[in-house]
Amino acid sequence: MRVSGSGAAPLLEARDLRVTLGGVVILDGLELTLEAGAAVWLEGPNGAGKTTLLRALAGLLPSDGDVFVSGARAGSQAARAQLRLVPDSAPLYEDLTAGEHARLLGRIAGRENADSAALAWCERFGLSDRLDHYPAALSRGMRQKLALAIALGGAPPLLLLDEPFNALDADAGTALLAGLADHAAAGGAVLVSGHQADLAARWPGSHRRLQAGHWAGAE
Amino acid sequence: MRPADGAADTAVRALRRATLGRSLRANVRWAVRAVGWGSIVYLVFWAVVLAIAALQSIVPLAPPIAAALTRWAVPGASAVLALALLQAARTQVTPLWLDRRDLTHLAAGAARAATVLAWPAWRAALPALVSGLVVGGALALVVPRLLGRPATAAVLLLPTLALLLPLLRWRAALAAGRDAIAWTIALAGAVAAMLTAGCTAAGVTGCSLAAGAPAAAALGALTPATGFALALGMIVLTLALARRTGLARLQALPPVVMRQSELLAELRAIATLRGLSAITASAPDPGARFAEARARDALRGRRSAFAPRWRPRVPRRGGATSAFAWLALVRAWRGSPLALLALPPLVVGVALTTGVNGPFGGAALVPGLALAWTAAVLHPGRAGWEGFSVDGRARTLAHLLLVGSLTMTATIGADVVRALLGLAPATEGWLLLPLGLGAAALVDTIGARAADPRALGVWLLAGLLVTVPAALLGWFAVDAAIAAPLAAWAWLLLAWVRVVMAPRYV
Repeated sequence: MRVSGSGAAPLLEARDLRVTLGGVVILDGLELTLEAGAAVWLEGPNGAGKTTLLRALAGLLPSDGDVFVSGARAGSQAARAQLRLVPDSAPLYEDLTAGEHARLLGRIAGRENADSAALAWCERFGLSDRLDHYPAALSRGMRQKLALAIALGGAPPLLLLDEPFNALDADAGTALLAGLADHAAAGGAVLVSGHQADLAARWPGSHRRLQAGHWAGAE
Repeated sequence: MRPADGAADTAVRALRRATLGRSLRANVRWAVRAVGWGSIVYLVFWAVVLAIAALQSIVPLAPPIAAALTRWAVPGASAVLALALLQAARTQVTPLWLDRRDLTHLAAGAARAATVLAWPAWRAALPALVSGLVVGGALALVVPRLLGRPATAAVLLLPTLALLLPLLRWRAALAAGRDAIAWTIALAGAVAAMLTAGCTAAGVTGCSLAAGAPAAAALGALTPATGFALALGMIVLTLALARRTGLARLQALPPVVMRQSELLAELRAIATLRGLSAITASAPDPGARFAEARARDALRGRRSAFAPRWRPRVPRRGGATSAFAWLALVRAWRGSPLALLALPPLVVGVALTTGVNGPFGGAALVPGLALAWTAAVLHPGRAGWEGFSVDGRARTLAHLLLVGSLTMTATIGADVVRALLGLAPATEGWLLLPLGLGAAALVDTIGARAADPRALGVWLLAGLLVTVPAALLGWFAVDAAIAAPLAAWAWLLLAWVRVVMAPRYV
């Protein structure tokens, strides 16, 4: 599988990104560029702004500064077609089964065969026998696996994952780690936040640390 | 893999069909199981029969009354319409929003914004359309019988106006309340309402009907042909505005939708829970009020959504009693501003008028109720002790101390006011302290068994009960000079028993 973006522009470029909520500055002048093949582990203490950063990059939060996804401004349809965000607790549609989630939401990624790829990821995560179950019958970890399977099946050039390893068992964590490494190797880019020191040590890419809305070590 | 053109839009439509269809079927199944087909048919039958009976029971108004009603109904309806238009033009809150699932899976997906927002648009328009049809239909049926004139145009006019409002709110929200077209329409409505009112006051009927034409047509004050022509004009205007707004061509989701959706979904959930609590008469979530206030503050970008405007310093020493007193003060401070503002004048007012009029028992009723309400406002509540054992005596003592000190302060304040007004000090003023303590003790006792210690029923019952000793003594015609100290001792005894017998809560 080869992930393809829109060309020469970096898959993600954030310039002077600033997010203010209710007069409180959450992110202050961040710069971030992810080229094809980048895999970044985002770390930092609680409240550092990791979730806000991921949401702002996905265009879900209004921000100051410039954010471009494959050259398209964040939030535009062109940018949204190039990325997938999985929040730390992905809400699911309670009246759709796990299999329907994989098929329908896989197709929302807008890529051919995304639904079958999402189902393949479900199998890899051990969800094959739960595809006809409603989300209410799934554990937190299974729900997380389903959300990740949909995102990975869509194979967008840019994957933004907010603490994806939190509820996963060891096997699923290893599978996800390998899948993300493959995604980056295939020309995609991955930005993952997390707190697990052991997984961070095994992370195949680089590490960035966020501290109180700034990159740690940056002026 | 390359993006497939239109595949995401098709998937979004399929998702909506699946989820909405199943949700509808589940609701129908629930209604049928809970009520039953027979009962539904029975209810519908009687609703129709009652509606027909109500319609047939309408008697035409006498001509002078009908003329007067029409004369003032048109400017009244025009004023309501103008206010609705102005409210829509100044809003900064989007009527179209996505829930958390849509935000996660659709807003960050590859589908066009127009496709993603199609269902929220229906969700905003459908209730407006149905309400407009119901009110318009009712007017079309009632006006001819009541005023003797056809008002058929109301069936078209009301739904059109009802659809215009969310459309204007959407435009206004996109422009942060500064949309030129929305303001032009709203100001035109305001000018027309003022003209209608002025012409009506001056007795110039033609001018009044012309300026308030939409209201006049809906109330049958214009000829049917004029009414329908006006309705068609309004429909064309609304369609043109909808087309100009360009929702169907939207590519990117507007920032206002992204920023406000989660908060609006949260507010909708709180409102739904409140409605369910009211229907099932179950205890409302005491924290919902604060969550709602926080969400509203966040919607308007206020700093108070993140931190309170005032941070109380919890005393380091003093034990559980002072901690509970602080908790009660903080809750009162962050509670309803109206209750807080009403508190001092109410207590001083009660102190000023205590025992001035009426028999002793009756005179105790008003201060008893007022002090019970005060005690309910200052109740420490359940926050802070749910899930672990606390000393109920300390909590009750803190409550009594707060109510007692407030009553004492108010009594002294009332005497100062009396002196300033040249009145003699109220000899009955000292009765307020035991009455306040008794009321607080009863609120505490009843509140411990109620879902919400501040609920209306709690302080109303406590207020009535606390006046019982005074009422009994008054009923037996005991002299006030003897009855007052007796009642005071009864109230103090009540408070003391409450403190001594306060249970531990877990």
